[in-house]
Amino acid sequence: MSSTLCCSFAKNVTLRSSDGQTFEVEEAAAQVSQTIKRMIEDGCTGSVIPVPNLTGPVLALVIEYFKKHSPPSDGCPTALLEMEIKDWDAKFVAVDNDTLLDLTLAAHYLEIQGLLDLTCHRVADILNDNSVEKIREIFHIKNDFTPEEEAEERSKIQWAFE
Amino acid sequence: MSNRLLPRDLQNEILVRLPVKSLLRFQGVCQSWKSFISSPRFISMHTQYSESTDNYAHLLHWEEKNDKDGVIQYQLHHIDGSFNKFQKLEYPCQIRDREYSFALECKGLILFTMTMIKDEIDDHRFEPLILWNPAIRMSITLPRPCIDVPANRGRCVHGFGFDHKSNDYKVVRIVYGRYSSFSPKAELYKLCTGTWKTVKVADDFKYTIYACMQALVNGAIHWLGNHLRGWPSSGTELEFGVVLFHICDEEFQVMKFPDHLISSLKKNYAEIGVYGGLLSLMEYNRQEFIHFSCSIWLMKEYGVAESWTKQFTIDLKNVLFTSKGDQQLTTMKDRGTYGRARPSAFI
Repeated sequence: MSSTLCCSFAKNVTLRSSDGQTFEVEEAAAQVSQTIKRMIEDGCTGSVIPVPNLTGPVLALVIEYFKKHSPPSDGCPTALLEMEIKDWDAKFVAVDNDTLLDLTLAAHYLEIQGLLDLTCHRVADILNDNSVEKIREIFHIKNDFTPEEEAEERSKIQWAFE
Repeated sequence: MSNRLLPRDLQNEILVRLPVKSLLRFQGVCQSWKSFISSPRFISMHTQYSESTDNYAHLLHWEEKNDKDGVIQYQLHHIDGSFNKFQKLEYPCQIRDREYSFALECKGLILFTMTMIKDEIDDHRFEPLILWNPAIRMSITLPRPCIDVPANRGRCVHGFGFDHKSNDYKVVRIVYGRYSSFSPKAELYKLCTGTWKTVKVADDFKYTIYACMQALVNGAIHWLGNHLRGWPSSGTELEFGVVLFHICDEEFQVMKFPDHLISSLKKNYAEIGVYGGLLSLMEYNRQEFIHFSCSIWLMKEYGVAESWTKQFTIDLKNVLFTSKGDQQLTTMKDRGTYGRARPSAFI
């Protein structure tokens, strides 16, 4: 009963990405983002809420996350539901590096703590599995050590490279 | 991850999640990563993050001497019921061939100390204190302390803690003579200065620390202490209390036990510890020479003697004890610390 009631009264908000795409999402779901929550509280609900730091495809992904993580309308989350969400989360961030970094930035900008933890963990796992050279490549970092400096640094902590 | 892509605070969020070994490697990515990763600010962020996640709790286990090369081995084990081996540690070379009997752990660093009692025979011997960071496989030898242990059964006790205000590790050393004519003296080593300095002990400070086990909670180092009230006149009585050293303020204090706990401590051997963030006592209930059960006492409200409560008792009759059971050194509640406040000594 209560869930039907909730649904019939559920309010929607419209979010607009940097490239002008608009998305309609339940207000309760969008409030997973602290930034959007504040905007709603400040009375931005009447018009479209601009999200200028996110492109359409990234905002679409974030909205998927909102939907999965919106507070359940019919009481407390069960252990089973929590496990399902955990599985879903793991699949959600199993994306290519560029998308992962976009999601990390989005979580940061929109203040979505859960998503920020999730993406930072995933990025850390990726870093952990890769060599120094590969990391420079993934993140477009220029090596500013001289070959001598690099060799010296490595010889000091050779075991860390094994 | 380049500065072009991610803002600095996001970069922090990611790097704090990396294990120490990877961070050591990633200092070689570029100059800015190197200076950032080795900055005191990041090191303390990384340690704090490690402490906030329980997944990395490990037990440091002192293995028997390896017959082949005759050296002591250390291993980390998971504390998850499986007790599986997690990692073998390279012990610091300074402790080779020496008889270090005790290790104190604080925030990923381990201090190796010696047994406490100085016999006449041992007078010429001095084993330096070794501070070990297993995560980065480095150790330093502390300079020789200033206060000598008095000959003929003089004793010293060590404490090892972290000062959150100054972001620094501190080692405190308390020296006792056998007789009460020698009032206790104390000195303090700070990792950031690298030197010992004297710490004031109040003239009427009567308590003797009788067990070298320490408990770190509430910004203080705690030991079990006792003193003979009324000595040397007749009708003396043994009193028990917790001796504590406030790591920030560098002051000693005593917290008395309630009477019922003192009568237990007169009968039974006990160890001090921390359980669920509370100061705790493990009391071994002894009959003849066998410990039949072990009771856990908790100080429910810190600083309130009356709040000491017997939480539960573990039946030990059916537990098989092996000599290995005594060889547990200490638990390490994190992935290790990346370094410390002043990187030059360790990194």
